[in-house]
Amino acid sequence: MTERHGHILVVDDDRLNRLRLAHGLQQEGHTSAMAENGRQALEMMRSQPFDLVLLDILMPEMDGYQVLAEMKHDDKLRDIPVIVISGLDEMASIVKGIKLGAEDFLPKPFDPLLLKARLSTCLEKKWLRDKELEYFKHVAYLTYAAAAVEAGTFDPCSLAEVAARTDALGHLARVFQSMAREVHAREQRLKQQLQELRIEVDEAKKARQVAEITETEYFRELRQRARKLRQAS
Amino acid sequence: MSEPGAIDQARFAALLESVQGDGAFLAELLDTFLAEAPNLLAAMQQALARQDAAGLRLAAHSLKSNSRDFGAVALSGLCLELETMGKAGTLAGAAEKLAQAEVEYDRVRAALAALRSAE
Repeated sequence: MTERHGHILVVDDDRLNRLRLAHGLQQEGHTSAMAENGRQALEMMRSQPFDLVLLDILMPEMDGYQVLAEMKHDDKLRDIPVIVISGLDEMASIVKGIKLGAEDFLPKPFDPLLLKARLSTCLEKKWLRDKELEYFKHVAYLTYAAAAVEAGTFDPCSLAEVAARTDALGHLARVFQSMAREVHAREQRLKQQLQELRIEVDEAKKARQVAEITETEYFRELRQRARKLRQAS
Repeated sequence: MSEPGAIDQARFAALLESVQGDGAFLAELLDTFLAEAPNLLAAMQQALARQDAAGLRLAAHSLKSNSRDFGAVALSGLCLELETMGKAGTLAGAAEKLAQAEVEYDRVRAALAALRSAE
């Protein structure tokens, strides 16, 4: 399994715990940010992206359960994996945290090897989930593109992100993009030809209209009068 | 030499191992503990004065886990009792228990200071 590194938010009111976790994370090549309570943690999560949250349960102001509950009600935060930090003597807290949506738990005192194992598993799962979500998003782009082709509003640039993929979906997007471009170019050529034909038709119509006027008896009389006036002067 | 009984040497060694033998970082942790512990004891005193069981529980909880990590087993045990009282909301006997914790902390501080200078 590839070792994945992430940006991790440590939420703990205890400074010693924050120091130890930050040190452990740094040793494993992760970057981290610290929050001292639940409210601060939520503000940070809403202002910068995190790959994972290490969350203490018992905290002043807003505890870990409230943080989990808020995260699960927020579309932008609900998919960030959470590992709750708790003493093994607080099994009820751990169970409640997992019921509220935490991925796993980390017992206190921290064991560096266990921290590494828990992080590795959670980050791998998150990576796979992110890939899956991206795949579904790209499939949706292709579906929108097909609808846009039918509606005549297709923009080939709309598939640039999908076409950059190196897998089968990327290949499909490139083929689709290329075919859609050909269809678009053909349409443009046909429109041009149609425009030229319209101009020819319009000119013939104008000539006919002129002829209809100049060939009338009234127009001939006018012409004769004009000639006589020119001779008289 | 540390005072006998105040610090469990095996647990202290485990803490050193958990920070991969990083002596400078261990010293930083020790300094932080010695700076934070009096604040937590004071927070417990204030919570008791207000009859604030939740406040007592919170401060006792922190000092319990911190002292346990440093091998201060007796102090951690006293804090666990205070935390349990706070959780249950029954503060009878908490003042006496807190007084014991303060005495025990003095022993722990002396023991850790000795370990700190030996590092």
